[in-house]
Amino acid sequence: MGAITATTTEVASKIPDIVTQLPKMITGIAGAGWPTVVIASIILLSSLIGFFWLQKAKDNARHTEETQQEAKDQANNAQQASSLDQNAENAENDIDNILKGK
Amino acid sequence: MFFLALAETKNIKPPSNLLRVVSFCIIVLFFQSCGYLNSDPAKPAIDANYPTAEIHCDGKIYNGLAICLNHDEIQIQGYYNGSVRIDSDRCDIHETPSYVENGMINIKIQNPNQSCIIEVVESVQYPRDTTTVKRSLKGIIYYKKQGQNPQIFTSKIPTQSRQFYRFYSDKLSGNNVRVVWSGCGISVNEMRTPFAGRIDFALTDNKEVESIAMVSKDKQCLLEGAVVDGENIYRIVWLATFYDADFAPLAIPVVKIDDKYVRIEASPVVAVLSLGNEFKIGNKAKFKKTNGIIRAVTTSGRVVIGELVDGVVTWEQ
Repeated sequence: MGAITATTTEVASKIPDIVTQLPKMITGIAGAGWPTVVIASIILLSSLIGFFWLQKAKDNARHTEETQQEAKDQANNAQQASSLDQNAENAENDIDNILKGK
Repeated sequence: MFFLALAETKNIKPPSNLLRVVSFCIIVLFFQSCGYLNSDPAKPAIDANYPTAEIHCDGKIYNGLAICLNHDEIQIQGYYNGSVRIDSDRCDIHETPSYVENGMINIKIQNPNQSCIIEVVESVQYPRDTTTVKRSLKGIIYYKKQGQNPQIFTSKIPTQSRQFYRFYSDKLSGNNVRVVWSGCGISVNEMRTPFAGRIDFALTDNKEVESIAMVSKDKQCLLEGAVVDGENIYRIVWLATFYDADFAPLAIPVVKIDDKYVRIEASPVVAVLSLGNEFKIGNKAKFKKTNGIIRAVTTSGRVVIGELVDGVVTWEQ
């Protein structure tokens, strides 16, 4: 809890330490030799590239499916529109004819 | 002081590399998931024959199913960017106009003296991707030619359920009237004495039941009718769709309104919320208080629309 009473000068003097330590703390490779760092970086980078490549492939597949589905929906709808339009025309004509001859 | 406290942790034994890698992956996945819209795993509305495109006409707003009497005011509300496929045989419309930034699509009727069915399929390009396939919104409009001014009714009815419908109007009553119906499998032309202005009929897909309207194979039908009382003729038009019984319409969101804001909380599957001209991603949103249309939209095309007027919302599912 000494931090609570620290002066601005004390805080400023610690900043260089943080700058050196923070990346090590984040990567967790403090004390490791360079081969470990390189191998760990390659594995991490490969995983990331693989992950995003897989996501991109999935997105592309989904977009293709969406486009196909849209075309199918539009075709179905046009067919239904035609059928309902016929239904509406018949109903309207029936009523018009009945009313004309009432 | 934050920096000092952090610096003091430099001698603490760091967590294992495995833990760090796992934490990193969780962070990556978190940001990745933030980039997606909420997905709706429910049966898509268009597959269930449940129309949900937002239709504006005659000064009213309809959720998927509309009867319009004024030929020059028929519009489809676009969400974000996208296109709308419009098909009508009798009105001779077969086109796919595009829209941007929540724009409206106008449907032009060339011949106002020709009634017609207009079916639309709206394909929305949302600003974010989804983890499931996004589906289009369907709409059905019956444009009724000028000069008849019928009473209009629209219904979305679950199939495999028998329902009784009642049309009632004081205007329809009389001591000696002729009642005529045609469409939806009904054909009636008879005198009724007296007539109370009430017409009941049942709807079912069971063809063995008598005097009912049949659900057509296309799961949508239109019924026209009239009541003739001397020189007075009152016309009625009814447009119905029959949706799959296993389809669940989207639940109505919770809306809280205070002096300044309208807060909306919808089901977790809702991808987009909107009030008036403002659209927001997610199932919870805060808008500046204003009268307007509230919308909740899911990626499977389920939509709820509400009209907010002076603190009161009238919903249409």
